[in-house]
Amino acid sequence: MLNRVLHRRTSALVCSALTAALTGCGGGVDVIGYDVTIQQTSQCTVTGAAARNCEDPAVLGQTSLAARWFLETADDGVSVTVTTHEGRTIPGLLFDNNTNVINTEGCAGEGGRCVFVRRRYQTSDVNTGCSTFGELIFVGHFPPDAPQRLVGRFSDVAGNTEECGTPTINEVVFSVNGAKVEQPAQSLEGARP
Amino acid sequence: MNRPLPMSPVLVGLAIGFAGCAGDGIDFFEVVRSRVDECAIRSNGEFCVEPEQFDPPTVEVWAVETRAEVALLYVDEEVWVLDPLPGDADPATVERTATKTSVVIDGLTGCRTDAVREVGFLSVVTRSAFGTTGTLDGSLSVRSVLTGPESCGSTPVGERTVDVVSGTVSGP
Repeated sequence: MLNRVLHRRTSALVCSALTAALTGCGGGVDVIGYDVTIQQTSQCTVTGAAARNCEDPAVLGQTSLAARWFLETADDGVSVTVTTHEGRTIPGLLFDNNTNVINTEGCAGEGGRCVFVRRRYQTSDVNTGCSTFGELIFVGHFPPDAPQRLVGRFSDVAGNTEECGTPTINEVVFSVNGAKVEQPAQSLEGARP
Repeated sequence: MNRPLPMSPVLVGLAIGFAGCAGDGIDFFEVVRSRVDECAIRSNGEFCVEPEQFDPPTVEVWAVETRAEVALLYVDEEVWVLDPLPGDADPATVERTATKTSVVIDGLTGCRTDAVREVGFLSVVTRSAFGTTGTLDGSLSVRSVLTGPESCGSTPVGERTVDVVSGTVSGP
């Protein structure tokens, strides 16, 4: 009798799981919020044939921005999308910090996990040939001794071609230091300027 | 010995499976976004733009995704994490809200810029054998204010805007 009941319950659970799998329900994507502090570490511009012009890092370092980023992680443990405080979404990967995927500052085999996301974009005016382009890259790691933290480097490169007038490239690099929050929805904290 | 699954547990399982997904999915809305408020914030008050000077309304696609643990709003490429509904609230009658804040502090001058963006909307969706119908009505407000010592100039200084959105369910 007990076996029959167990069999029936097991069958029901198996069917639930199958249904969830077949219908695509039951989650599979996790949204995690991070309160991040962002500071510019460099800002350089190249305009036309002029030399590369960079801001003073000491001055840049005086300004910090506090906001929230989101990480959407898929249940494959690899796919991730980072949404910045400006609402820019950048797709990429999660991986072990063991130098197999990348070997760069912060993700040079110190252990723990790393995230690498990148987005390139380009738009062109077919009439004038003017193209604008850009690339967003974030490389971050979750330190093994503090997996609730997210530390990394975010770069934002944007430019345009000479058909737009003067060719220009602007690169801004930020340091990102974040801490995981319990609830990704920001309104709950009552923060209001 | 393997036995074929009895019919009743299969039905129970399917029911549990589908019940667990109730409300999950994405609804797309084609909305018209119109400016209703646009003001400059100055130390001596707010100075608002006359409605005739607003930019014309725009048509956008918004999407509301409901998952087991979280609800998301997509506006263009931007993702908003919606505040959880209180208790057993009916999403068809309770406004969904989300907020994004950011604070910029200039350690050199002491100037501070607080920005807050808030979205609130009510979406009502009906699904039937004839298809899915529904509406979305809400607003999106943005407020950014710089404050600080005299070296920051005459403060507070900033701006705020309010847009209203209204639309109906559309395809993705």
